[in-house]
Amino acid sequence: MKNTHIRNLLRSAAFLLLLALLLQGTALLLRPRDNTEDAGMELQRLHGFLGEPDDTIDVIFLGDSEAYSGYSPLEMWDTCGFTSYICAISGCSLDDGYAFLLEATAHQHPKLVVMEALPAFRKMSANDSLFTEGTLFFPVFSVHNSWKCMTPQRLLSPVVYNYRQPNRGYKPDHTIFAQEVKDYMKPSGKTAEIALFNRIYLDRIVRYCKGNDIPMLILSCPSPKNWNYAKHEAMQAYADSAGVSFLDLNLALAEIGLDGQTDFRDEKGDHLNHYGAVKTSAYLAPILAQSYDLPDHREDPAYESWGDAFELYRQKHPTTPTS
Amino acid sequence: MEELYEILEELQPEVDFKTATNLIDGHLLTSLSIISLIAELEDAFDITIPAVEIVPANFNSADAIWTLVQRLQEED
Amino acid sequence: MIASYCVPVYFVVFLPLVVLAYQVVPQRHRWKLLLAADYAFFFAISGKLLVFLLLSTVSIHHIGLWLGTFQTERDLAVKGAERSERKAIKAAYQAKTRGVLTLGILFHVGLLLVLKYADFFGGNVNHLLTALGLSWQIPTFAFAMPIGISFYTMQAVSYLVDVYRGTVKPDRSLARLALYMSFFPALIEGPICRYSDTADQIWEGRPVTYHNLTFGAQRILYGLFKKIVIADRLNPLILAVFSNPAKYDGGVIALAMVCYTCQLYMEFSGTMDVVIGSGEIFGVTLPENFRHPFFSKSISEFWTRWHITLGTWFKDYIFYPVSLSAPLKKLTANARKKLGNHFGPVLASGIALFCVWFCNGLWHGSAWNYIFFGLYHFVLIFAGNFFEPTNKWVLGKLHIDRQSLPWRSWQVLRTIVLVNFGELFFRAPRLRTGLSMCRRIFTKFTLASFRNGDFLVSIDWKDLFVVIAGVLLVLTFSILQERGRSIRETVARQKLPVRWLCYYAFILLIVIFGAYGKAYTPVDPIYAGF
Repeated sequence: MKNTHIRNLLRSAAFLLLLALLLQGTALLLRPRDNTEDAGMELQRLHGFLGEPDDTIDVIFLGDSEAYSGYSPLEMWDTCGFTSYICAISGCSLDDGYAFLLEATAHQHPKLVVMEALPAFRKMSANDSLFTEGTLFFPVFSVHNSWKCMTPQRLLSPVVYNYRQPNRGYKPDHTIFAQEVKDYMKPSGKTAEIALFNRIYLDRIVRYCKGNDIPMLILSCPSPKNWNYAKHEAMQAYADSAGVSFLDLNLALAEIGLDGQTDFRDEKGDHLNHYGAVKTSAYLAPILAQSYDLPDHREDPAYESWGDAFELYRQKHPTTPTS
Repeated sequence: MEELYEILEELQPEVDFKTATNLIDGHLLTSLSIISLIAELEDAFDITIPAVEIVPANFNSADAIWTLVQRLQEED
Repeated sequence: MIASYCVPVYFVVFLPLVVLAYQVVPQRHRWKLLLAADYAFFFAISGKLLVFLLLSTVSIHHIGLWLGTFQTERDLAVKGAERSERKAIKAAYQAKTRGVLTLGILFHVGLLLVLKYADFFGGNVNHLLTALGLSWQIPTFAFAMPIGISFYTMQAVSYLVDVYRGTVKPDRSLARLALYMSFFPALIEGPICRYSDTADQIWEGRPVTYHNLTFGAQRILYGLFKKIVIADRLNPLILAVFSNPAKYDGGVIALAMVCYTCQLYMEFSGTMDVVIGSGEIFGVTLPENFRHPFFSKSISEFWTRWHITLGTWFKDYIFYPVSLSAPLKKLTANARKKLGNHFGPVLASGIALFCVWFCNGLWHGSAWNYIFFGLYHFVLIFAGNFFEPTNKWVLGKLHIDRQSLPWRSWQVLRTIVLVNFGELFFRAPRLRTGLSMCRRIFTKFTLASFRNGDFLVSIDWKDLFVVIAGVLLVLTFSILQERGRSIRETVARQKLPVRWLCYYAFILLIVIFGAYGKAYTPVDPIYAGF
């Protein structure tokens, strides 16, 4: 009896061990061979950072649609000459943010990590977080879908990330949704709450950055629809307790020069449009450059590609609407 | 017993009730034919069959049905 | 938290933790652990609405004992009485117990009606008032529903009726009833269990055996395959077509209909595999809910193979009691005299059948398309019964052998087509949409979309290929099982390397071809909403 018990236990352990090996093997087999959707990479705009040469990105932005709509790396390049990348997906939750941070810092040593504030207030799902954790141990869960793009040729070729995202993760949107933006940042005496689960993940992100000696900034992008003073208070309190900086751009609408008539792309000022992003980036860049002593690569020949990318970007996305 | 066979055969002539033992489980008697059967049984044997007695065990074979009829006759 | 069994939080974290704790705890305490797990599970999904489950549990315990005291009193009284008085005593007690039972049923069904249907009834009363030209409206309420209420209410009622009928002894143990009402694998989507089937099994706390663990895990895997690989992969097409049917031609709508029927089966029966597999690990045999329904030769047979526990519940607690009630018996007798041996019972039982299918439709949800869904099946089954002799006569005249393969295949095909149309109404967001989709299938039917590839709405041909391969695999397993072969036993008899190869292959199939991750929107389980 005892013997069969032990034998079954050992057998189960062997089964699981072999299964883990198989899953890792499958992940190697199914790894997208390039960082494009065509090669089976999911979230192509975000994964464009894999195409950036190692150790060339100064600032990594993590966040949701507020981040990829509101901050333009090439705009900041033009203003101050540092390099940055926006790792953001719509509806991003903090477990995604944490996973993106790990992925992005695998080949980059950023001088600053900027975390968009809104995901801290987004309801997290235990299931999704568990799944994200799973993908950290078993990448097969995130690359499994690339079977759709696998050809025998691809299967035999090595992994080379060739794709460079033209806007460095920023998603320009020229739509103008003219509206009246009321003063939505009046102190109300109320404080919003950051849920326990969210706090745990924020702590993990903070701890990771501290452990790797990367300064971290929590940044809140202007969004009259999603932000308010109660959230500001809660975020400030968190930042103070965690020992990280917090910059709330929602308090600086006038300084940035944002105008409800031209600078938002959807109802109630949900997201900034390209013109709002231009102003916001121009305002933000010098602050980041000075506070974190970011380098200016504009004269550096090794960064020529950034200058070229900027030229293309400016042609396609001018700073003011063309009529 | 003969009377019971007559009722059953009239109801579903294609089934061999003398040997079948899975009338319900084998879907040989549908719920509709059970309703007809119960009406016939109540008429012929002067009994009342309550809904609680309609379980496969009581209707799976002619023998089982016969046992049920006799039991209900005694109870009355 | 998504209320589903096909998510990693359930099968990677919750279930293994409970199994581990269950195995560690001594047998006599296991029921406590299970009950704690049940309530934690319920609380994680429905929070404070747990009160409703507790209320239902306490009430069936109390009412059961109440019925029990009457029954003991009656038995004593009958024993001591003269033979001639016995009938009167029995009748007196029957009236009492019937009153108590009615009270119990009214309480449970009433609670369900209020929580689930108040909004629907209120809304329709208001429509009626408006239609009658009246300006006043009644207030409507929409309540938050405790998870699984539609299922555990059925279990509560079946327990009370069984106690009343004397087929089950009233349970003195509140804990055992609580376990029966809340066993977590069966909490969200059934199967609807009977007290006599599962209560003792769950209560016993049988040890987890290696055999049960591995067999249960395999059943769970099979369920995940059906749900994640097939059902979820079809979802984008179904979602797109059903939310905007006017955009598509009849051919594509017909395809979406077939895809939905497939999705519903794969998802519901797959979830049942996960549920029954979970039960198996704890040594609890839960009743089967599916028996290869698409091999059915008629609609009534279909319903003995699809959502079986719901069908038998309606049969035992509505169909027979209604058709054997005094007024209907009288009607049957009269009808037989006037209409003959066939049409008499058919018409009389038609009334009971109508009650069953009306309730069945309404049980699925408070909307007209569900009621239509129920009545659609009523009409099909009733017509099937009604024309049975005509059918036989015509077949006899045409010399068609009812047992021949072509005839049986035709019957199966016909049943599948009829079922598909039923599910179209089931899925349609509103009855009106369902009707117009149905119309489009016939009036706007064209194969053009299939020729130019437009039929692949929101999915690609690779998705389609995976689905077809998956369905063929399930079909193969189903045919083998229908012939009495047990796939798991067959695999278990193989040598270890072969066995493991089978398991690994199956797991990798799910991991690689499953429709999950960032590229897919998670699909809410369909039956958890009922």
